[in-house]
Amino acid sequence: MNRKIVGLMIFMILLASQVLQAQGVRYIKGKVYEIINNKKEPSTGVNVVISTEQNRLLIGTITNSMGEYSLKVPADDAYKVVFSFIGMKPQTFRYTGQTELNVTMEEDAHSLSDVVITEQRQVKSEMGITMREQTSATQKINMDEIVKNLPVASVEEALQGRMSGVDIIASGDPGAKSSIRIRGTATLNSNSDPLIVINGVPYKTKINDSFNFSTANQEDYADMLNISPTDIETIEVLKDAASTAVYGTSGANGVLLITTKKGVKGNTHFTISSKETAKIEPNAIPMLNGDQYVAFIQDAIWNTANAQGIANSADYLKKLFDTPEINYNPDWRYFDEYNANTDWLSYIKKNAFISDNSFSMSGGGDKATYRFSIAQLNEGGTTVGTELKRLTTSLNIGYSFSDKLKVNADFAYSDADKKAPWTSSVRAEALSKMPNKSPFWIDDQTGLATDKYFTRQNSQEFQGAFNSSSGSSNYHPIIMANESYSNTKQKEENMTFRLNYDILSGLTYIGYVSMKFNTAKYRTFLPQSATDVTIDNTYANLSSDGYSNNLALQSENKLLYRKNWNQMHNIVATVLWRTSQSVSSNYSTEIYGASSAGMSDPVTGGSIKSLGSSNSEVRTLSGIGNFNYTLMDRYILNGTVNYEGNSSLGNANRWGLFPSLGFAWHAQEEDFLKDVEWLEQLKFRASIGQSGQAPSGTAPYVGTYKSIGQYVTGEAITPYSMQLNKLKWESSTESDFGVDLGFFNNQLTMTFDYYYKYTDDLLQEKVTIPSSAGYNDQSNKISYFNSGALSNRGWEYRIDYEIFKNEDWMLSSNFNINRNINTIETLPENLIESVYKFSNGEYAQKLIAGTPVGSFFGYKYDGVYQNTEETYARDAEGNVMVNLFDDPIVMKNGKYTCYPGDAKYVDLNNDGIINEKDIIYIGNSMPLVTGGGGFNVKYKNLSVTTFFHYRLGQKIINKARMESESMYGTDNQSKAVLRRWRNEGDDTTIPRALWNYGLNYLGSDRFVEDCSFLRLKTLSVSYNVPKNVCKKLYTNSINIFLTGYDMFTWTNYTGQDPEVSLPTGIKDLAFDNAQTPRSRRFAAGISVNF
Amino acid sequence: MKSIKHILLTVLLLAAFSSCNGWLEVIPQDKQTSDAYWNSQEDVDAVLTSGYLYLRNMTISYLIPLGELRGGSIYSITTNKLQSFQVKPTDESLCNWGPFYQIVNIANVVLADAKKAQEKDDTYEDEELKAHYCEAYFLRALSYFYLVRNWREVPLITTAYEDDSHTYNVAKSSEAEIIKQIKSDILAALNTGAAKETYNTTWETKGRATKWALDALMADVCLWSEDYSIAIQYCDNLMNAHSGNAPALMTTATHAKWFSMFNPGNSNESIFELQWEYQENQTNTLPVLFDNINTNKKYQLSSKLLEEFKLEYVYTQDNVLEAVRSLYGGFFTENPLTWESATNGYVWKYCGSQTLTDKRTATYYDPNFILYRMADVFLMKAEALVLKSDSKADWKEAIILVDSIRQRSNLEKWGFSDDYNEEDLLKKILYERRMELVGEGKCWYDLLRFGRRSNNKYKTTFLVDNVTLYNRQAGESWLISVMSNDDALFLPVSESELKANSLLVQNPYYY
Repeated sequence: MNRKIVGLMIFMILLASQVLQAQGVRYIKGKVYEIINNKKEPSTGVNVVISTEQNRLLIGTITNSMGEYSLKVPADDAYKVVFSFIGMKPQTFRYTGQTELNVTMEEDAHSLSDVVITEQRQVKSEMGITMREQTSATQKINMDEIVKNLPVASVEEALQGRMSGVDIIASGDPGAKSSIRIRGTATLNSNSDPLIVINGVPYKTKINDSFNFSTANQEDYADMLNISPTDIETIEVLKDAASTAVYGTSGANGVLLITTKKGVKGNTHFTISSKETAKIEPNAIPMLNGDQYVAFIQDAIWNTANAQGIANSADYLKKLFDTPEINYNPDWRYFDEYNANTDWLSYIKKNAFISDNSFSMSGGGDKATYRFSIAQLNEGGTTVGTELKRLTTSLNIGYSFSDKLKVNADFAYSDADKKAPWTSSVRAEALSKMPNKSPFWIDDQTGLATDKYFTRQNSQEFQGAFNSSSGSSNYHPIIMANESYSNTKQKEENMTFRLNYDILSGLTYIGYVSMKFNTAKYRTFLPQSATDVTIDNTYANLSSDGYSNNLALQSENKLLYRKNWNQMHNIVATVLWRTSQSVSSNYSTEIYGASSAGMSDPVTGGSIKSLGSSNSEVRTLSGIGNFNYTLMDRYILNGTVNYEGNSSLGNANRWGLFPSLGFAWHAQEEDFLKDVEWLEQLKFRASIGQSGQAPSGTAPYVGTYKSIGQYVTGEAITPYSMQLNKLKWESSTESDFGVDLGFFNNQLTMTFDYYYKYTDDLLQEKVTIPSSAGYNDQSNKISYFNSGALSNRGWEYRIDYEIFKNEDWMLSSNFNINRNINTIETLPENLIESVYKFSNGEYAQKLIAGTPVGSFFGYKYDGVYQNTEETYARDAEGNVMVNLFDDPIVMKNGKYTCYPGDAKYVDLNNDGIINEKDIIYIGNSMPLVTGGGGFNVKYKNLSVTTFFHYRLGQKIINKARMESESMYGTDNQSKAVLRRWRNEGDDTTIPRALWNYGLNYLGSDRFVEDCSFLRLKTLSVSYNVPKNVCKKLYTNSINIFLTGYDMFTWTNYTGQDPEVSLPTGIKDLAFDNAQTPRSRRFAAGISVNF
Repeated sequence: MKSIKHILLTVLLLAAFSSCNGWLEVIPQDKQTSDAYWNSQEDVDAVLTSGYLYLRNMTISYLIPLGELRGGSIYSITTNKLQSFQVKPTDESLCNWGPFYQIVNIANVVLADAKKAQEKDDTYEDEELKAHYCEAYFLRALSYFYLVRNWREVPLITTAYEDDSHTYNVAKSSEAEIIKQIKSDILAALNTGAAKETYNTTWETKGRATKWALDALMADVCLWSEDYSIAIQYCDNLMNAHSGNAPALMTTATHAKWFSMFNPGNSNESIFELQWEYQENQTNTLPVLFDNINTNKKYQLSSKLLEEFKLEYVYTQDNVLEAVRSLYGGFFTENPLTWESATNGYVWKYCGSQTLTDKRTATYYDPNFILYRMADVFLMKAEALVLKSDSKADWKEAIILVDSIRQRSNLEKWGFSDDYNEEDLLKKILYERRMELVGEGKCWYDLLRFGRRSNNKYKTTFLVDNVTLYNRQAGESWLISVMSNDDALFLPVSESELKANSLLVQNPYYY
């Protein structure tokens, strides 16, 4: 590979050096003037160059202080002599052997607008195809409009709800990963994120699979797209297989094409913008206070003791009367600390600020253009301890050697620093903490809290000792938020060198070499004070340090041919060869028992808990041919073939062939529609294409042997993983039918698309094989297996309407709506469903071929048994069932006999017992429709923009509510439980409190909620300071804006935030785990251009 | 135009450079890949060794509980679904056959690939290769023998799962087919003529498959499949061997000699035993599991068996300390002289040191686990002789064999009487096996074999009655009702295995 890159470099250098070859000895000299105050003055610093007919620069100089120049003229051929200066009209003279040439420069008032005109050429895609010639579904948005007055930190956030078919769920914490899905999830276990392409170069964010930090929560380390939104010019989304085909298989989940801003010819422009945003945390769900909590716990224990019967309740009564934490016992040494009234959440949430400042500078002349930018973002989190700081800089230089040869170099550097507490469960912990406990020691004299943390958290304590499993619980949430950390520092350098050469008229060569180097450093620390574990515990002062780096090299060589015959036939043909190589390595160390928080660095001592390191490498090659033919400017046929090889697959199935074909018809060009004046565009599109997904990781197909120890003195080596020669590409076929409509000079445009994507040979990761194959010690797993099929079908509709426009007023609106249905077509072999556990809080999971994924199964909740009569079991006719002695049979929840006050579930099979057989379908987490829309109103220099985002018809298990209403353990509960059932006649749906007993919160529809929402995502007012005022301030333009973000949400959902991230695996159920809710944000900013 | 050619040429060259498929051949740097394995004799040896290692690692959680608990001689102090005959398909840890198949796969891999190593290693003689095959055949046969005795019908897999070219879904084969495969494996091994009689070190001679181990296994398998003449023939191979390397029955009737079979182990009587070595940091929990004091103790003698051991004392009342088998192999009581009052029996074989009162200390927590020894072979032959025919001469010989085991333990001979019928003789043999081989993972298979033979002729006498007599961990009526169903004598296929292998059918008892 390196040979190849070196080859390309040498080749480019050769081209450049050819330019400098001198071919004879002739001179030309002269003097350059300009007119100043009607007087001819010598002009200094004028650019004088000799160039070929194709404007290839051969030699050049600038005039001295006397306006004089002298140049050596190369031999042979015909040349031009060009004089240029910024703000002057360039002058060109044919070289005919002159030895002296004097010139007078003239001012050029229109150079800026000239530039604009040349820039308005038809924009062509990477494949040299114009929008008009496309046969596939794409949508392009201009970032400037969005970014200018919105407080967005990331590209994902900016795009949310704006593009049809692109479903983004952003996270509430700074720097946390958002999930982006284009037209649904079409793969089970391999990567389902879309490919991001920046200026034509695929940007791979995924850190390799063998990334194995022992402590890492991989989602957290997920890679941010380290690019400042203000540097982005446009973003285009490619959705169907026919359009993504040119990006190879990595574009199988859709492609986001990002084009960054470039320097443009003309005077140097400076833009400074500054944005300050306040984040205001939404109101929390009210929790019980100290007294209410104690009363509830006592109630719960007493109820259980009663339900158990006197004979068995000794333990409970002891618990009830002998637990000092929940009793009034002033002699107890911790009495003060357990008779407080603490709102734990208030200590770990805060309002925060985001400040976002950027500066950019751009300009250029005939030969070279440049743009430099630097942006800094400081985003505070609403959970204490979370923060994101990011610095991004970029430099873009373009240079034209001639009209034929252009080179372009991009450099980008970013430095992101993300801070978070050691565990992401701080909020959940704060909510569940007993409110009668004080976070601080109480001074016995004054009765006031001291500044010393009260850390008692052990097995004798009422809520128990620190528990590290399942997201960890029982720790001091305030210390966790303030002193623990899980920090990520990421640095990324990105360099791309591009070359454009017009070989012949219509035939162009474009090539690039790109290098991206990413290093990430992770540090985590869990102070012992937060957990109060003993110092020999493996969680005492647990500290880890990890480092990973990744080098991605990519190159592409492309030949593009474009020709038109008699305005009848138009062809665009492309062939390209692309290579990519990604090499990663990482290590991590984890220690515990460091003597103090200050010694948290792993090298300072302590006992090693784990060590890890790994290397990985993935290479791909792909050859792509694309052919686009347009007949009579109305019938378009487009075909692409991608032949791609991936190092993650074995020799037999390494190469995949993925063809696609598209057709489009511009009906408005037909004679019978030509006269319809209001119809601007009527374009029908149809396409079908194939794509693939390769497994990830370093050659996961390779079989391995491993040493497993010794039998006495004999070394034992065993087959450890199987060689997977049959492993192959996961293949998908997508068809798309669309219509683009434009009316009244495109004042009203609409796009409708229907798609169907069928994914076969699904790649399943870590698949269980029968243990009879002999891999018992490896848990009978193989790394990947192709099996099963999945389909995504749906439609997208988008409308843009410029309702009114005149000199002063402009009113426009847009709206999009999308529907995606994800169905398991063939259930993968060996897909083992998680076994349903008949216990509180558990939902059943069923994966059935032909049904959409994301379904919940559970019990039907029917309120509370009010009296003994109601607890009698009834048959299908509603008659009370009796036993042999004619006594009524009492309902049972599992093995627990129901008493008044217990949860009542619908006994579907009328057998008197609530058990697995009473489970039915109770909802699905996939939204019915998603989308967004908004209005823009403009009056002179004032504009108001609104944008709404919605997801409708989606259900979610409100686990946060379940846990705060379960009344089962020691966790604090929400104020809702004050309505719990206590006596007959209590009109409530909340059962009685039971301490570690009964089945009062089985997974039922009680906690399944509709989380549809409509959210006013942005409301922005911006004002462009009038030109004449700007002129006085020596600026080109000034823009001031005020934006409210996530201000209102219309929803029936009772949780804090209906925008809940969905699980990635199809086997996981969608839970609301009380993540940080999105806060309301108010931003004010200014952008100055001069 | 020159530059155009230049560019085109360069582009083509670049394409050619990259197009090689080889560039996509990325091999993990931190792993031993299958392609690069199988280079030498040592490679084959190492894979075979892992087969023994896997088998050894199964002792505590598979070989002992599966072989003992259902038989009732030994019971688990904590509840165990095996001994209460309540194993369900969801009890993965009790009915997972994966570990046995892991050894099967090791054997299959060696049989498939050892040849590759020989092609690369000049010093790898044919004889050595065949000897390795013998070990692989032995491991495979032994694993299937365990499988067939516990699950009766299992998938018969003789292809190596090294890559994904073989289907993972394999249906069960019948008991007869499995037995046939086991026999053909043992025969294939013996027919190579390369089966070793001895290795360079003692631990290998006793801890790896030898010709003797193959003979013993064959005799055991033939007893199971009721081929008594052949069983006798293979027992004779051992008992009448002329080779100086052949194992021989320990005959000295002293406790020190008798106990040397278990500590230090690898005695002359031993045929095949799984090895641990403290010096190499290889220890096990056998001394702890069978201990009387340790809090982690798990197994005890059933009260009925304890009584029987006590009865054996009666024979040696004059010199209690010479009640060799009872005291040194069977059960332990704090003071041997007060044996009569002992209420709990512990298997001293594993927790005892050389002397009667000393227990193994932590540095001796490496007792071996014996799979075959000569006493077993003697008793197998006796059993075969009784069942082969009604010949009184054979029956007499059988009793002589049994008595030779009793004599060396200072126990009274049974002696032969013409009044004995087949059932009487078998009872004596079964009794002898229970006492002699207690804790060696044989009990349940013995009951099953005695009970199922000749179309369940003795099912009540030997299987049901014995289980109900010894097993006090489940109600008698429950045990009788379970065992009335022949399918219930075998384990269910685990739930996860049923899901993973679509061709599997559950044992009908567990539907």
